Amino acid sequence: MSMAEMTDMRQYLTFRLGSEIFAIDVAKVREVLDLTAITPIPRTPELMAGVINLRGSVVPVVDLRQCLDMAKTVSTRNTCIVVVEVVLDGESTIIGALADSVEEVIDLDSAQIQPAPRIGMQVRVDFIRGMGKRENSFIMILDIDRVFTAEELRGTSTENTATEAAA
Amino acid sequence: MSVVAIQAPGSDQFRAAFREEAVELLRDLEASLLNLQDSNEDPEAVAGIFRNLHTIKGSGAMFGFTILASFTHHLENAFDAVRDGRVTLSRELIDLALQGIDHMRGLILNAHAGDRRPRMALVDKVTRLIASGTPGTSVVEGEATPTPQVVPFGDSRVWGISFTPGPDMMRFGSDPALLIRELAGMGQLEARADLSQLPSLTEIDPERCYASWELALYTGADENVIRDVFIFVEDLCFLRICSEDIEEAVAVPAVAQTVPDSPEPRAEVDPIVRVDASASPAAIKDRGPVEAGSTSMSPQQAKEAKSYDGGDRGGIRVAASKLDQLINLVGELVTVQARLSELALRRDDNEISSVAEEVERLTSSLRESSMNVRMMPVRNTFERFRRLVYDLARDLSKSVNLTIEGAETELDKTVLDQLSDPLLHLIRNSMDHGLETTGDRLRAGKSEQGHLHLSARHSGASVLIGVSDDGRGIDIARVRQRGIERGLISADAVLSESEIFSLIFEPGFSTAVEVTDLSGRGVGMDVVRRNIEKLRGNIDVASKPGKGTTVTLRIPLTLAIIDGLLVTIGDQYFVLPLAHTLECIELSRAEIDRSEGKQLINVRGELIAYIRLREYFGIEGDLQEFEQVMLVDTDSGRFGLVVDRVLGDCQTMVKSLGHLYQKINELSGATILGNGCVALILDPHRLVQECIRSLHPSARAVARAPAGARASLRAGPGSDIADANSNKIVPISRSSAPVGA
Repeated sequence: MSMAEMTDMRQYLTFRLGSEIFAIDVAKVREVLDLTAITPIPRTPELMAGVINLRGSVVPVVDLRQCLDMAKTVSTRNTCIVVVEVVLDGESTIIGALADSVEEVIDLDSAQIQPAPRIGMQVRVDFIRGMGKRENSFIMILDIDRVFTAEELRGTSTENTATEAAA
Repeated sequence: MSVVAIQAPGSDQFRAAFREEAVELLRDLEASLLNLQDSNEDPEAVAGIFRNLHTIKGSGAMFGFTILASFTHHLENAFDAVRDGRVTLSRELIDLALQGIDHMRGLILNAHAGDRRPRMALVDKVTRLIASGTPGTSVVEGEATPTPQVVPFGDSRVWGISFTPGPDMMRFGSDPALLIRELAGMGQLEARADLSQLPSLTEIDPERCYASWELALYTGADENVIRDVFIFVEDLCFLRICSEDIEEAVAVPAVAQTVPDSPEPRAEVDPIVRVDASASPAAIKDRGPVEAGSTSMSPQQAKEAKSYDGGDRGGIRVAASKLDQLINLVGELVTVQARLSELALRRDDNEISSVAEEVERLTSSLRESSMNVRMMPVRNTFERFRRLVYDLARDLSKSVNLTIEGAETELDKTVLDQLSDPLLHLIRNSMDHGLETTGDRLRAGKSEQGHLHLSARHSGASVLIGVSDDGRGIDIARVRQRGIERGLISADAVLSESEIFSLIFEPGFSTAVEVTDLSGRGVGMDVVRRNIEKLRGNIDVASKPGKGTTVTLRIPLTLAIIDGLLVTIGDQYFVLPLAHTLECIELSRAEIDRSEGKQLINVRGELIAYIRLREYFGIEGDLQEFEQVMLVDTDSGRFGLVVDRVLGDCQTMVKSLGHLYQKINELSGATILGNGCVALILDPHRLVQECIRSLHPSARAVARAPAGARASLRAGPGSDIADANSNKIVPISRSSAPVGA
């Protein structure tokens, strides 16, 4: 294997939302936590699950399923919080994402990743960085920065400004 | 410093340190200049200014700020002339020096030279000023600019200088080449380098200087001036200066004695310098000849050396980010300690309990002292305004005397940083609108000079910052009329004085007939309110027509820790800032049922509307038989906030909710409790405002009308105006509503 091909190899954390398998670049992932008590923040959209105490820091948690237009997460023994570091408005921010279960860390070669098809996807195409092929299945690689900067998630801010503007 | 990296003198690290130091020196300089205008020629103060300028020049040249050094040189000349009585200290000179300081600050911060024309103009003015004050132009002071200048060789003579850098000199950031270049600028210099000590390349230590020099300098400058060149490296090198004319050399110290200087500091100074020298054995060895050659260190030099060594400052410089990190760690420790205490309580084990208690005691004192580290006196913030007042007074041709009280009052650094802007606007406002011109003042039977007073004092967990003037005061009728015109209040509204005064903080509100450079656009006061609200503080305005105005800002001591009441709603914890809480009243189910849906409570005859937070926040769970009404005092009046239970008071470390939740107005942050749960910190002001807004769509409609009208008048962020507008309108229409209901 040549050097060029070596550098194209990246690691991804795979996790399950319902029956679907998704992946995030491990460089974005800080840690994976078992589900702990989430304090809901009043008057915020349901997809903003609330905040948790992460070793003394207050970290927001987002219901990733609802971000991707799936039904609300029902917590089970396998439910995890994937703590990711994303860039919001040019500022690095730590956010927890709820996942039904975390699978494994896999290596994917850039040759194994295809662009997402324009139609036939249940998830918004602009959230998908590509489709990773593994054995016989496809894994959706999420553009997590984009998922968390999407309007829907900022709904709290836009909604509130909207009421302010109306008031 | 790493062993591998070669730290060339003038590297970024040293330059950054120099910048920081120089900016501080400039601030001192500015302060002493402004003091000078009050106290007139105080020889001690002039000498201080001269010393500061000299330090900036010297270290500037050392770190490669050559333009700065040569510019500073001219100012230094001017103050040297003042010191010698050749030039009188005029207001013109102070003005020039202040401008010069601004220019120097620019040079220091921007490093590059910028436009040279304003600099040349300043230099020109300074030079002319010195010349005008000197009848028989005799330049005694040697030129120390890096660019060689012609010095009159009237009484020039040859100085023999032998200069051997010590092993540590380059390591401490001094470049011998720069020093020699500076000497060359004083006259004709012949230099001979001795490289005999140079080891072979394999043994060479790149941070060490192996060369030594024999220099012959033909100049009109005296020994002190030459010695000044080496002032910062004196302890790090072997230096011998001797003149061809021995008598002259002996006379030098006598000249230095004429410099006004009190004897006491001298006595202190010398040992300090000696202690420093003893740090390096080589320096001690090298020191002997220096003293032998020059009789003794002149007091002036000693003092300069002292100020450079930082001997009179009992502190260290720490980056603010390091402090923040420390505070964060302490915050985590506090959280862990609370968990430990809770665990100990449950275990009922004496040994664990005693350890937990010990940890608790240590943590709380650690927390206190680490918070203390961030506390800084308001002095610097206040003193900075002296310059502003001076400039504004000149521009407005008013005579203003600024007094400062309670400068030693301490506030958290973050709070202080955010206080500067609001104070600036308040002072501008006082200077422009409050204080009258000299003529008007005399006509009104007041003293000729206006008075502006800045004060700070503690009051519980807050600090009160006052800005007062003895100007014409706020015309209450005019403010009210403007308020009605702008649709902020209704024509028949019954308002207290302070409610009317608070209108001046509305965006775009101005009673000024004409807009001046300084103020009148109605922007400043709005900024004041926004900033103070951000600090969770509040503003109070008192004014008497013809007597003056006082604006008092109440600011919490720190943003990091607040005293609060821990309450629960369902299984969720909330913290209510104690500062806003008045009392706590029990509310039974029966009472609620009796009131038939009206959310009012009778508190000693006063009807107070309450907000059921459980409903407002949509928290599920069983209703309690008894609920608690927390009576809070907000800008919108008194309100009750209904919670399930009150657990008690707590000191909490405020944590931000982060980017995603920054627009949740009702909350000012979160904190982590001993049991690891997250409690949300309520902001009563905003909570009440938001609640009124969401409950009363009709109130919104009222607010929307003027906002729309405004938007067409003023191009600007319409939503912000509407937002701030409704804040004002809603409470007024609302506060009368419950009473009438």
